[in-house]
Amino acid sequence: MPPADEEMLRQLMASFREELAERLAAVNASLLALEQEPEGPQRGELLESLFRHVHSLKGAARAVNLYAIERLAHALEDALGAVQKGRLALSAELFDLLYKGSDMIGAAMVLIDAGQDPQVSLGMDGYLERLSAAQRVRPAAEGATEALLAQMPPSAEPALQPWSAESIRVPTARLDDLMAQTGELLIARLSAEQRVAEARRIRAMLNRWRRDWQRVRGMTMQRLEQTGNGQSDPVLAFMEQNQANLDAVTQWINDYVHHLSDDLARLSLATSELQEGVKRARMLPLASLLGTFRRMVRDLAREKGIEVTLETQGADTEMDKHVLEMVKDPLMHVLRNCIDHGIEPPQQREQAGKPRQGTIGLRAERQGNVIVLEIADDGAGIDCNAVRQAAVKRGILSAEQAAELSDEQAAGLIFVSGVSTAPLVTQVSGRGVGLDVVRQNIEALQGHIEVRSTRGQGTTFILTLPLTLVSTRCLLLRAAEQLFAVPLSTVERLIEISPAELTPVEGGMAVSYAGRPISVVRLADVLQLSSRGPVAAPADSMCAVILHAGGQEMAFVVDQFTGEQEVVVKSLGRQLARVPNIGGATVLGTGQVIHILNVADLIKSARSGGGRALPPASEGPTPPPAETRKAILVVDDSITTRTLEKNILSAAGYAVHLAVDGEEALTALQESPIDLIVADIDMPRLDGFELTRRVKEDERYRNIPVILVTSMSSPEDRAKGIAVGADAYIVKSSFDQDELLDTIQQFI
Amino acid sequence: MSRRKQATPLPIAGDSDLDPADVALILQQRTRALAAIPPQEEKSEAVEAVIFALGESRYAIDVQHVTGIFALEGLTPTPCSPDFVAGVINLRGRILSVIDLQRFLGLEATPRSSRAQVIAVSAVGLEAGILVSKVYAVRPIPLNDLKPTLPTSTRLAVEFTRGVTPDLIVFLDLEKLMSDERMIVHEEVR
Repeated sequence: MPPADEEMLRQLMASFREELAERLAAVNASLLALEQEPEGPQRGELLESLFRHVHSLKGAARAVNLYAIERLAHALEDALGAVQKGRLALSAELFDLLYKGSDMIGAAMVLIDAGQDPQVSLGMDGYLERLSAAQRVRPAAEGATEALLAQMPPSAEPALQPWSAESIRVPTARLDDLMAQTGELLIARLSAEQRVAEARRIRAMLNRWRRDWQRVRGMTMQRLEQTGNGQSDPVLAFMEQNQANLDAVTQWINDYVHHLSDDLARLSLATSELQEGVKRARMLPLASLLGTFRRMVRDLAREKGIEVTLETQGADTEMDKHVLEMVKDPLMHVLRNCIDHGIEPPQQREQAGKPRQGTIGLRAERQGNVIVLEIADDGAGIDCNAVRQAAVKRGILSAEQAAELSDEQAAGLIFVSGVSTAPLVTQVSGRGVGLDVVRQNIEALQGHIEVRSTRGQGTTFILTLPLTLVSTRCLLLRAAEQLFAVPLSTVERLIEISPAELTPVEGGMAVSYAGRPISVVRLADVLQLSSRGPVAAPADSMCAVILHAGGQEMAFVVDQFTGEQEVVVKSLGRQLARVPNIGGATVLGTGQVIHILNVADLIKSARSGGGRALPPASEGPTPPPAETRKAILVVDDSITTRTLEKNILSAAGYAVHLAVDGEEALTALQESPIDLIVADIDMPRLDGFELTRRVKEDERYRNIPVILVTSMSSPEDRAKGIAVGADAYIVKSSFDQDELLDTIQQFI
Repeated sequence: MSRRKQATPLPIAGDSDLDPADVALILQQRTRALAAIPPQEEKSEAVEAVIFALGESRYAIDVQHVTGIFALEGLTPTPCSPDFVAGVINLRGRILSVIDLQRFLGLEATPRSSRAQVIAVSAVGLEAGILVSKVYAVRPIPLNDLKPTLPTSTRLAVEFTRGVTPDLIVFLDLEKLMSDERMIVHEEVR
């Protein structure tokens, strides 16, 4: 193919893809609306719109020689036409087929882009057969035909979209470039501010000089006149001249500073306006995500057999496209959570006096510089006690600490990794790793997420997100004589710590703040930097900043704080794809590059021993905490299994104790501290179920996780496992090393 | 031209006793000789390269990867990164990471303070700066003259070398260097 034609085909394909995406989105939206009210007043309009979109898609696919998509579109067009003419009823099965058709078109495009033939991979023939079968079997009632005939489209010609001169498509990359350039402008503006500050300093110095000169000149002239020294005329003349020069220069510099300030003001204004303008150009309404959300809610609800509707408010609220893209997954996850754990099945709802259909409300609102998103369901609410128990089981809190938490604080525990209220950990669910990732992602966007819930009434998730990500206010600080920046959104408080306030706690030092203990580490240590200068003697008080991320907080000791500034966040480039503790870099007005720290990393690094313990006020370094290996008790009557499990677990670093049956296991528990039990079920004297029951009933051992490993996989056995209080149930036939280790890791 | 002239003996101008047929013949011979395409000279393939110094040794990289050469002003070290990452600099508003090649290749490292220039490179979709002490010139390196590496080089240096020139300039394979998995720093905190 000649290059010109190739180029044309490439452009054609590009615009086809765009059209495909748009039309599929429109088809989905129309299907969703139609499904809500199949016989409603908008039926005719919606069917018309569906027909039009599918018809245009068919033509477009033909134009770019994508036969598979043309075929699918044609089939959908036929089906929709039949519905419009009254020959086909809009049943639930038909809707499923129509959705499937639209999904297939999307999937076909993906396959075509990957160079594969969709007709083969998608099972298109089977689908098309089902679709045409559905049409053959459903004649509509006689009387309805007339009414529906009246709704027939006037012609099969698609209405031409009028060319709109009011909007223009811009590739996102071009906007990103513009954004980068405005970032540069911001740096230039910061630089200009420096110049103005310098000019002011020059002016101040000149003024002082001029005043001093005036004073001295006055005195000197008096004295010269008194002594009447004729030869002083050149000196006098010089002094006059100098005064005149200084007056002139100070006048000039005064004017200069004024003009410079004016220029700076104009530059600032123009830069802000430009930046605002580009930010707004990059903004899209939340509504652009709604199609996907509604579809997901519909599909999931059907899967779980519950009825849900998604209501939105403020969907026209606009957000930066990048933020929108990054928030899509967390939002979907929260929505899924509402359906999985929130909305009850219809009968349960009726019994509780609620409407059969559950409602999930998605509300967006701009408040100043942030966007607040609320996802509220009218479902079962969070069972705070179950969450407390789950947290205690996971070892996150002790039972006493859990009891002390208010309901609100307990609800917040759902964001901690590993906390799940599912009764049993199986191969698929209950691992509790969803909402903590959501929180991480939201915090990576410098936002927050919290939850409020009333048992029996519903749950509300509240997300706060910044309007833009280009520039951030940061705290500048110095550690190990280097300058660093930390996003202000992670700063809780700046404090001063005197050595007397430090109290040793396990693994390090802590200080009391607002009635709670906070770990203290040296930032230089966490960053593995050593101070080149003399180390501050422990007697001096230290500057520290309390930072928070991921629900955890820590105090970091620094050399000093140097200020607060809005900075343009720049990535480190592809070569430094991910450096621990470092989140990016920025260029200060002076041209100096400083690193922006990743607070979530810092806290994690400090926790895992990156920060050496601070020396207590009294002498001597604290000895490093002794290495404690977790002890696992393996209970199985088969020596082969025992040996196998022992080997796997020791290799993974655990201390392994063995027992041949339940009785021995109980004895072993009394002899040494055990952190987790892995037990077979089928054993003589005392079997796995009985052992679990005894362990869970005993106050001393109740909190030890018990994993039952067995060849018995029937639902009754599983139910028995739950009944006796087992924490996990692994079926031996699918036993594999990693799975056992993964499951154990969830508990200890 | 002069050689061709020598090949065809010329009658001295002014020689009048040549008959026109002979003159015509001579002129024809001259025409043919002048019109003949001269034999091609043996050209060996050469690559334009930037020659620079790292410590005592001289190195070269293909100029097609080089996007700029400039004096080093203000290097910001990056904590918690491998030791071959010297730090980052500001290049016209963008952040460029700077690599210490001696440390990356496991060669004996010269003190960083003596390295005052940065060669900005771009290869296999990655951009970085190479910290060097001196940049000499840009000149073509004939590929035929390259010899295999010296036995005293480290294993890593051998892997990334295209060859050594007769005047002991080590010609590096920058694409291979930048494609090495150790070059991209990707470390999570656990």
